[in-house]
Amino acid sequence: MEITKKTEETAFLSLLEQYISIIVKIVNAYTYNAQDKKDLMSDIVFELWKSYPKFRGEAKVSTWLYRVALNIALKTKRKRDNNKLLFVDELIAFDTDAFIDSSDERSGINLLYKCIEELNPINKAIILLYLDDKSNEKIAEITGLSRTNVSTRLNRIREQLKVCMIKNEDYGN
Amino acid sequence: MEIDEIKNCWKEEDKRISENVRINRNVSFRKLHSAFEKVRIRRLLRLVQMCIFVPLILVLIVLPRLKNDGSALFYLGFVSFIIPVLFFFIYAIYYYICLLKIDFTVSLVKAKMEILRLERIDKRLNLSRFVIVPVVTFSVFKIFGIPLGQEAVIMLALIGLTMIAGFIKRKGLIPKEYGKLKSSWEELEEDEKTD
Repeated sequence: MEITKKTEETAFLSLLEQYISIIVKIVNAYTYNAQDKKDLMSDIVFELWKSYPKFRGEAKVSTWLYRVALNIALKTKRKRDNNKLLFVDELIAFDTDAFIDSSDERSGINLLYKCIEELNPINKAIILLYLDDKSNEKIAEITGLSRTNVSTRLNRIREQLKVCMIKNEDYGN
Repeated sequence: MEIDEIKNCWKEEDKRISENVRINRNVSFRKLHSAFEKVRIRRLLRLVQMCIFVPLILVLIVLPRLKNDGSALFYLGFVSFIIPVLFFFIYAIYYYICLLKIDFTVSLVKAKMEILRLERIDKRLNLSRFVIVPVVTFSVFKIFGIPLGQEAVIMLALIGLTMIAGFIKRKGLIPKEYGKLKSSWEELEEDEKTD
C-alpha cells in the first residue's frame, strides 16, 4: 500500500516536472504579485494532486492539466486556506522576481504578459492555449466552447494582441 | 509585432521556464504527504462541524427550554422556528457539499457554470436570511415562553432595525449581482450552444 502511494507520488511529480512550464505560464498570466503567484501555484498543484487518481489516462495529460490549472485560475473567488502551501523550489524564483523581471532582455515577454493581462479570463485562457500551439479543436475541448466560437474569438484576440503590442512598443520608444 | 514573433517570444519563455524551474522532490513529497492531507482533513472537519453544530444547539439549548403551554401560538411559534432553521441547515450543507465536489477536470465553461450556480444559491441564502431571521427571533419568544416586556420589545426592535438596514443596503446590491450572474450565465449558455 505504502509502495503504491510512493509510486503514485513519484509518477505525479515526474508529470508535474514535465509540464511545469504550462503551470508557471498560467500562474504568470493570471496573477500580478508574488504572494498571489504562490497561492495560485499551490492551489493548482493541490487540485491536480486531488484529481490525479481520477485522471489516470482518461484524457490526454495536457488536456487534464490545462483544464485543472485554468479552472483554478479562472475561479476568481478562491477560498484561501489558513496554511499557505509552498510547494516547489521555483518559489525562490518568485521571491527573486525572476518571473517579473523587467530587464531589456525580457521586455518582449513582459509586454506580451501585459497585453494578455488586458483580456477577459476566458479569452486569456484561449490565447494561452493558442500560443502553446494547441489546435482550435483542442482549445474547444479544453474550454468547452464550440470550435466556431473559438475561431471567432481567436481572430479578435490576435488582433487585439497585435494592436496592444504595437501601441506599447511605440509608447516604449 | 506580428503574431509569429509573439509566438516565438512565447516559445522562448517556455524554454526559459523549462530550463530554470526545477521541482524540489524532497519538499514536494513532504507536502503531498502532510500539507495536502491536512487541507483535505480540515475541509472535511468544517463540513462535520457544520453537520453537528445546529443539531447540538437544538438538542442542548432549544429543547430543554421549550415551554409548551398547549396554545396554538406555541405551535405556530415552533413551526415558524424549526422550518427556517432546518431549511437553512439543509441548504447550507448542500451548498458546502457542492463546493467540495466541484470538478475542475471538466471544461472551463462547465466549471464556470457550476460556480455560477453555487453563487446563485449563496445569494439566495443571503437574501432569504433577511426575511427569516426576524420571524425566527419572534418565534423564540413564543416557544421559550419569554414575556414580551419592555426589554424584549427593545431587543426585538433593534434586531428588526438591523435587518431592515441590512436589507436596504443590499436591496440595490443584490439585483445588480443577480443581473451580473444572469448575464454571465446567458453568455456561457450561448457559448455552449453556438456551433
